[in-house]
Amino acid sequence: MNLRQVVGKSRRATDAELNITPVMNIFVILIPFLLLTATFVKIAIIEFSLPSLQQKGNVNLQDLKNLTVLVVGIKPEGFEIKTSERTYPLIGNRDGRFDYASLYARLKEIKDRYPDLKDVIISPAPNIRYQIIVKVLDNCREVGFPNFSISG
Amino acid sequence: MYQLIRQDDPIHHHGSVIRRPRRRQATFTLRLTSMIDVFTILLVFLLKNFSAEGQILSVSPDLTLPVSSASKPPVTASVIMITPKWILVDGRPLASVKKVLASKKLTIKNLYEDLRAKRLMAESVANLDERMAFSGEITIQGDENIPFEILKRVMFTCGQVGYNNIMLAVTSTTQ
Repeated sequence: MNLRQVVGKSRRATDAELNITPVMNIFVILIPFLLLTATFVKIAIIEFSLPSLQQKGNVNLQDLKNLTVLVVGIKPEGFEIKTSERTYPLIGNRDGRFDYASLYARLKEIKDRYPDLKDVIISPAPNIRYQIIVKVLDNCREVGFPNFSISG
Repeated sequence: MYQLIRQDDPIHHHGSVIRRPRRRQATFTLRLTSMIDVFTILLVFLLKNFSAEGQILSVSPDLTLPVSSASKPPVTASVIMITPKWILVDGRPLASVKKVLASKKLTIKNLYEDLRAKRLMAESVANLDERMAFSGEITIQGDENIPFEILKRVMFTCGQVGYNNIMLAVTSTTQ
């Protein structure tokens, strides 16, 4: 046997290529399919309920007295946060923009003080943009006030 | 490598009169590695944001939904669209924003009547089949720049009719 042939054979064995045709077939079919069905804008919903007339139940007066109410007012000049116990100073705008970081910190502080409180009332001024209301709602939800109502 | 050497090897070609480039043709391959790299990355990316549910809500091109960190998927319900100019219910324009803002009433008359008709229809269906009970769910797709005043009036009108479970459609930033 020729040495060269032996060496050549073993070399050829290591040179073996993968048969990638089936993989390419899958890719070529899957990629157009996924590209067609791809949704690049994801839509979500923020759910809330308006108070309805049918939902009235027995309200305990004692409960009502202990109830803490948190109101976040949105005004063109800033956020005004009130609870039934005290009114916090206005969170003014910073460089003409709403100061969401301070709002978040303030809400966090209130959450630490009333861990059981889950409700918040948002009260925007009539000319406040929708996007700002949604941002405030996001902040409230992230801090831990998932039940909100909007008051005009 | 070995084959290339053999082709250029003078010993092997010396005797043959006809040169056959067959061997060279047989070993010719496309360099697919980079293409497969691209495909693999594309495939992973597309599979990642693939959703089997499809899109329930379609957004009209003349309105931009506000951005939010909410991640709750939308459910099927009637849609009130508030574009910068019009208020539409399920694609039908019912009132102009300008006129609504000019009026002093909190209830939007056309919207009220349309929603009322919808509710009556839903209730008559509910009489036939209990599973289709009136849930009072309604989706509001509002442009990010509409003032709260118009939103308030739309929500108030919904509440008047009995659509109490309002869902605000937003563009989700979470994946």
